[in-house]
Amino acid sequence: MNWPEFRRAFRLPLGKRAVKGDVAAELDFHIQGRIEELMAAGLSRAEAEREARARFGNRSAIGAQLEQIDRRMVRRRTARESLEALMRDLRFAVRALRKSPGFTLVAVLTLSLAIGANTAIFSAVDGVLLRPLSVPGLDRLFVIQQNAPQLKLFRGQLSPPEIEDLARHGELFEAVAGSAGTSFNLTGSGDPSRITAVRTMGRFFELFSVRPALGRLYGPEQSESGNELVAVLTDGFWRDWAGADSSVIGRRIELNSRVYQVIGVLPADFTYRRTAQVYVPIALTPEVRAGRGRWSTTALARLQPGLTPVQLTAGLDRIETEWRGGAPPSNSIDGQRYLSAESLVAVRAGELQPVLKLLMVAVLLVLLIACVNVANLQIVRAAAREKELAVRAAMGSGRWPIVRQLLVESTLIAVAGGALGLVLGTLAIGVLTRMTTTALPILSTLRLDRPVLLFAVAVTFVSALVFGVFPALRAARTDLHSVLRETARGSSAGGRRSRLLRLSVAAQVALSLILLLGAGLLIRSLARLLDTDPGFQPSQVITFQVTLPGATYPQAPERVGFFDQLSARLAGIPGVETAGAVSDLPFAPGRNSSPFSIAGRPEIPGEPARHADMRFVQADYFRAMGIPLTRGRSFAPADRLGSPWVSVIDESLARQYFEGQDPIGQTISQGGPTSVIIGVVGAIKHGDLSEPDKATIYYAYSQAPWYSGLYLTLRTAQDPGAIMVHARGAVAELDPKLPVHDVRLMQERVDDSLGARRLVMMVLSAFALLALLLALLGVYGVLSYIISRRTHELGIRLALGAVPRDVVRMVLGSGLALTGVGLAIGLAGFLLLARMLSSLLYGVSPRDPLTIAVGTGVLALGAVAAALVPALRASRVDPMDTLKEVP
Amino acid sequence: MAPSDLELLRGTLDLILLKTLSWGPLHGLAVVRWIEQTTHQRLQIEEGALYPALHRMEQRGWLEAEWGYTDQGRRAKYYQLTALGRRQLALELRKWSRYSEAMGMVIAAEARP
Repeated sequence: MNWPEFRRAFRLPLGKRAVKGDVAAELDFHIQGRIEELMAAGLSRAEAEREARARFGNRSAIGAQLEQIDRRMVRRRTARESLEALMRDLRFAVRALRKSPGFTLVAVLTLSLAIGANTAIFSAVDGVLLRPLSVPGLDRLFVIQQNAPQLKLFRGQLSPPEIEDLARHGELFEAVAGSAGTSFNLTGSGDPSRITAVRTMGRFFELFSVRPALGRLYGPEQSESGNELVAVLTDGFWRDWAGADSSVIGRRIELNSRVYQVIGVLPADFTYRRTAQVYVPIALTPEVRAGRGRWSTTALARLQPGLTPVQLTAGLDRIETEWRGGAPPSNSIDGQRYLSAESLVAVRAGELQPVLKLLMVAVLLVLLIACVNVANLQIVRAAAREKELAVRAAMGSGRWPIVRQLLVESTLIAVAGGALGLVLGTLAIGVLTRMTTTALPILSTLRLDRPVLLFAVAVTFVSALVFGVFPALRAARTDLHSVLRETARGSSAGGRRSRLLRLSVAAQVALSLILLLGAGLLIRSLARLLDTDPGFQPSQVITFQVTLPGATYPQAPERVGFFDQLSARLAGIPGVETAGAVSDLPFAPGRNSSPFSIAGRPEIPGEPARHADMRFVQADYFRAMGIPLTRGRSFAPADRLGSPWVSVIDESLARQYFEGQDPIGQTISQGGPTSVIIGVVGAIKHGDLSEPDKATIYYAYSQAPWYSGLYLTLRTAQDPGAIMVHARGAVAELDPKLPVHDVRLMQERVDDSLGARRLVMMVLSAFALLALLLALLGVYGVLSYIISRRTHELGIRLALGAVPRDVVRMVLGSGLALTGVGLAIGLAGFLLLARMLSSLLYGVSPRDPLTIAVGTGVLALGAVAAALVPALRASRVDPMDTLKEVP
Repeated sequence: MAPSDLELLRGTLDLILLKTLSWGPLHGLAVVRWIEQTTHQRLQIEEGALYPALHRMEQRGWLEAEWGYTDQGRRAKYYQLTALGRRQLALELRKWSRYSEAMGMVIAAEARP
């Protein structure tokens, strides 16, 4: 048989649509060939057709089968071919990057720093603002707060009866609950200790959709008196105290010498309050229900689905009006009050919310700078590879393969940067959590989980696009002829490129100036805050809390007697200068305030509302804390239970209400019996160094032992650890069942109050430094590049008599012009953004001229330094060398 | 025995096609003709069934298909063995000869079981 050499037509179809036609053509050819053959053998056309079809079989079924096979084949081939193309590009990219290790290293490092910083900050944003609690419908959880501008009271708590009122508004709220932090002495099992508890009322657990891990949780019915002695344990406490024993349900637990029954254990992921160990119901006794003015409880509410914020505000106004109508205001304070709602997430984030938003913006700026920087490097490198790319283009490689090739290189760089960035980010998260455990406990649970990982991956690829696409498109657009003809004189493409580079350097300078100025302002305000006098001397003061359980110390004289003895013993410890105690310690949780009146002086409309913090002090508290007595006398042992009440006011109160008068001897009343003012002490900061002074009235604990727990304060120059051994001994001698709780140095408490500011200052400074470095690197790199392109011109200039100084001046000048443009843009941008900072600033204007001058100066100086190196190099160009180079 | 009533054993079609194409590229109709000639029309093959087998072998990479023109200038799809196809042919041939050898022994056997 003769095997014909066939003439080739074209390759197999690639498109799926072509498959159908292809199959039909092949089968038609077969059947047609047969028909002709049969007719040649003598059959009629009709017979031949019938015979051919019969021999062939079911044509349409076979056709369908073939189409299916071919389509699959085409699909596979396309996939394989694109994979092969990708692998080719990848191999090529690895080779290309390996050829310029300096570029690769700088690009990867730059990106990894930016991506690492983004990962760390995003993990904080995610953990604090986006998903702080694993609760379905978290966005419908609100804290209902009261505000009384006249009292300077904002976002305050409500009283239990008011919360019960809220719960009656089913048209607004799906569920309402109240919570109040507290702590208990845990006794009856091992050493006495102090545990942190949350007292709740209403549908608290339902509000959070939490199911018990063991046993049951409690609802509103448990707050009715007689039912309240039940306790729900948190997972952590269940492990510590009960050794994770599942038979704990029904066990007795002795809190403040009262016996509660354990009814349930919470799941580990319930973190309403991280430090809480036990949840117990608030007992709604008739007395509690009558106390509408006891604003001691946080009101939580789950909004009905579909309600808008406007509807919520209107609803709250209605409730407030109801309250005012139902019970006429007992004093002028009520009339000024209004309710507001804030999302639970925002309340929990607290001061971190503005901080994290700011840091997220800052860290994105850093990323942008890094991308611009790497794009710069790419453009410079593309110049060096111009010939390579032009040759590829000349050899028929289209524009797209070149773009794809460069994009693959960019992606490779980004992936390497992202991988290293994840490592850096993990380290940064570790540092962040360790650094802030006491100051910002909410940050202590950050970790790199899936959403954070996804974010990092997204950032990686987005940045690859940002820094990759533009240079790739540019490189592919490069005019072939001009490149291949190009000489050292520099082509039009070179000119365009350096304009682009100058622009991006200006952008980097602008962005880093914004960060630098932001950091500068924060540093200045932190310095101002650190300079702020808290009104007392926090150094060398040890503080701790001792709480007397009501069950064992039910009577006032017992409490007074206990603390008198304790203070005396503490003051007797060798090395302790003085000792005292106070009901609410500054810079510790909790404060107490209420309205007061001045005898014989009715309130004048327009005068600041008479409202003051109240403190109960014991023994030598003022001297121990270093609060100066400025007038009159302090409390004396003669001011005892039963003797007429006396009080000491602070300078802030004296200034506001006794301007130009002597307050000593005046009579005031603040809810309790009237008291005679015997002295004036200096005003102190209570919770935050940035807050304005709040009027404060001090009472003698020995006359009003209303608090069962006091903070002891010891002033000593000795080692706190050694002193505390004695102090614990002194407590145990008096009552071995009493725990010593919350032991800390006063200085630490003050320092921790600055935690958020310190954090944002440090992180932002680090970002600013990084941005500064990148921007200067950009200035240096681009000037070096431009000069390397102009070596020839410089050589001619030098040959024609220019002195090196002229060259230096010229290069420096172009560097400074670049920086100048960047600084101007950056300054304008900063002034626009400065508003974001204002909530974090203290004692410094967002447009502080000094900060702006110093920041701009630092950047300008840095830019001069960065420009000087290439400028000097340019001045040393040997004219002979460059002239000889002429092609 | 009628000339065309030998039914094709399962799995032998691949071998037949590979062998047919081992001489050079052919289109489907030529393959059928060659089989008819070579076997004196003893094998009964439904012609249409050839094509799924050819396409499947192409998918496996044993064959390569290409459009070309016949001597009469008609457009036809030609199949050609690839290196992989040749290896497969050798494999199938070995398998077949072992199989037919074994069958031959069975048929020629004289000893009673």
